Amino acid sequence: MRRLLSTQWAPLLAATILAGIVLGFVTRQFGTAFNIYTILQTAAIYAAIGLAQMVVLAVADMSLAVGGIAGLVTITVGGLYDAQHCSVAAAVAAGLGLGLACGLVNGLIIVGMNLSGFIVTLATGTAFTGIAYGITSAIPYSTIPPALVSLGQGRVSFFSFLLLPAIALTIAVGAGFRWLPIGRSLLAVGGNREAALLSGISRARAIVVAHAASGLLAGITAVMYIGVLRSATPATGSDWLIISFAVPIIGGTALVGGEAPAMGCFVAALVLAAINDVLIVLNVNTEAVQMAEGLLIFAAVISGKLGQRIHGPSLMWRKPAARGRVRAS
Amino acid sequence: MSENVPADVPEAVPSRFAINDVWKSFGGVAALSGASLRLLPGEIHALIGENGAGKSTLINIATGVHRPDRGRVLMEGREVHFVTPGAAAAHGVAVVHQERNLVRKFSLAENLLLGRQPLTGGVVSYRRMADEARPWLERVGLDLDPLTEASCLSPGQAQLLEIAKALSQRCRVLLLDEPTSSITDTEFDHLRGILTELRDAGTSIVFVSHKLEEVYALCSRITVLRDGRNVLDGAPLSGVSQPEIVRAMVGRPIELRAGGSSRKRRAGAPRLELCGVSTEFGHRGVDLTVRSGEIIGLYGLVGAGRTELARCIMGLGRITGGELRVNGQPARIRNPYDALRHHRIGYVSEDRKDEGLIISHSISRNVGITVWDKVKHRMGWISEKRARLHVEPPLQRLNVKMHRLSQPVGSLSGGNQQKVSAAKWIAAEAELLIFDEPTVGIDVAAKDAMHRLIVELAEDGTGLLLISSDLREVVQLADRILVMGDFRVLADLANSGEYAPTSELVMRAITQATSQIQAPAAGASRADQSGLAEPAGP
Repeated sequence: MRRLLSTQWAPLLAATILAGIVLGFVTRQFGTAFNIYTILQTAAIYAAIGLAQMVVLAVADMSLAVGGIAGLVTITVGGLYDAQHCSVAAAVAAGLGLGLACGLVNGLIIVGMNLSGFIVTLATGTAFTGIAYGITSAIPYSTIPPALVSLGQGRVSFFSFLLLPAIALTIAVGAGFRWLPIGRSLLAVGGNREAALLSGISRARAIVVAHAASGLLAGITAVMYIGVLRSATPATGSDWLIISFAVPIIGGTALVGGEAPAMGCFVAALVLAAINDVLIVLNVNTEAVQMAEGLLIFAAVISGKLGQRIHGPSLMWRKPAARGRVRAS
Repeated sequence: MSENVPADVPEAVPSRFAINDVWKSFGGVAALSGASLRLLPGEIHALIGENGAGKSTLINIATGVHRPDRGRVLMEGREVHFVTPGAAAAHGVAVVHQERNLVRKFSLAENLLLGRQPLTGGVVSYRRMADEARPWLERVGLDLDPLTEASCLSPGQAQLLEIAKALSQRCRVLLLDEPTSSITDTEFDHLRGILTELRDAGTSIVFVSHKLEEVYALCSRITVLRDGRNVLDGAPLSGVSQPEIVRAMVGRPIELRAGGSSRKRRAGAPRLELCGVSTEFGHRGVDLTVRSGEIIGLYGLVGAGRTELARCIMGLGRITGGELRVNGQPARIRNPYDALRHHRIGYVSEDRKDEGLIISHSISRNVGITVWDKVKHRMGWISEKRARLHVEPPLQRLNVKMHRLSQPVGSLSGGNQQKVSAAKWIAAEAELLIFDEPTVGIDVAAKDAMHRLIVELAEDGTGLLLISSDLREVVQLADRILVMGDFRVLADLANSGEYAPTSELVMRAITQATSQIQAPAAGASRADQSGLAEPAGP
């Protein structure tokens, strides 16, 4: 329990729940089961998007192609089901396979040509979006598998069914980073490239795995989102870029790599979704919602601990007292 | 150049590990041209050379980071090809690098077992990891929970962790690349015990160090590199004197400079005065005066609060009491920019890699940073040509070995990097310079150049505050020696320039102060703890 409370996202979660309770009393609209369901539905999508970025941040790289891959997967699933009359399972499997492949391509280009993930995914992400629009001539597929619709729209009272895959992904990613050798390798490469290299851990492999996992997660997110939207549009993913960074950063992921708090991601997604909803319920316009998200990222960054992680230890002078304390223990 | 069969190695004892006549160049620049290193079982072998002589390249070849262009690597007489660091480790070659190679967010245990974490059913087992790591940590005297995060370690402790890691790989050949550059004397004694034990168990150890006293204390044979070749190839240390080693390294004899008194002294007006200063770090009642043309040595044990004091002078820490005067005028320095621009105070950081230099930028840019304000046009852009006028003279004066000004600083050797970091402040025409451990981790020749520079600067009228843990260096250079301990000035001594009596005075000041503090009456502030914990060691 003490470990739970000392995590970075604990105060954030507590504040959000508290604010939610207060708001529930203030506005009758906020506390309704349907409204909470809406928040959780959005949060599930945000969490999945955040995880897709987080796995890449863990190796101290980044991906601007999360949205592009999602767009491509969306129209693949929609197109195979609607136009090619494939089964749902086949369409989804093909979509996820494509997501994985896109991520793999990103990773291989980065490693093969020794470029930064930023440059490569800026290029491929844009290209993926272009392909998605090109194939569909920008027209969405509107016949959506009922199974995906019931996943995206289904609920029991406030509990959105989308939470199930979101929670499963969070646990899977979190456990993977904590207990799987490959997860530890990714974090080692992100934490200290040289140290990992000298211990015989391949950076190339870590980068490729991280991007492939990111592609797969982007694909899963796209499949989750098709039901929410009831349409498979190539526009899916076009506005995910900011969210993909906001969620892991607010959740406590270091931009310099070496950390991957999956649970923090999930909580940050909840918080962002809730803020989004509150501002809409309070009739604040959408621009203000974006501004609030921006401020929240900022707040997360400057809140002591996290700020230190992003700047690294050298910029922040370590006070001698800190050393003394450790030695004393 | 070395022959195939070295005369020094008795043929009856075959080499455990040998690098024979190895050549390696990087982009046309030769790093090694026929270098050899032959290790016998159960010896500690010194590998010495100036920065840039090829030691690092040789170590990288031994550990599979680089592959030689020509030449052979032999393990127990059989040729081996290390294609990755992993392959070298599999053959029992382990290395402790000069740079701290730790994943800060991982536990001590996981750092120790990085890349080979124990698995239970394909899943990392933290309990087994801690169990496996514990004996190795104890072996090097790291008495901490194996699951502590590595970011909590002091530099010395981090070094011990890396040695524990090398030991845990059950190596037959252990390469130590300047393992003592950042550890305390007690930690060194401890390390010496471990290394001797390993040697007696049959491990071949390579000890790279610039501290010749340590080399004599530990090693039996010595290999010296200069310009990528062997000057000495496994010569028994008993037959080589210290001046001979130095001559072998640099190719010319270096006279050890007489004490500070030999310099023509012109101590002028006070540049910087601290009167009863206390700081947020816990300093109290610090009095210090640096006059122009004077070198003040600030000596103390690690954790005494010297670097922290320098930071407060530069405006990187808050001064909470007392008065700071620059050129006789009370001054409040808010940040390093303020210090340089308005008070002409510069600080050559101890941590040149993180704080002193921008490694990926060119030499001219690094040095030019401090003069940009001076050379900028009215519209605000910076003229490279005008900057060059300020940048070139200090670099020439320090004799920085470089190909061109546009070369990135990261491609220079450690000693040359340190020179560039000093050149920056000379270009800025600072009137008071604080040198923080200017010669840690640089070779004898670079050290000599640095010392000459400090003396020259003083002769030109710059006031110098020299923070150093090398008492010889302080006695050699300083006019007065301030002994610091536990965030206070313990003694202010005039320096006679003679090592024996002065060092005794300094040590007496420290030991007396320590015994006073250890009395229970001392208020246990945070600063006290950190000051005391260091000399005690692990």
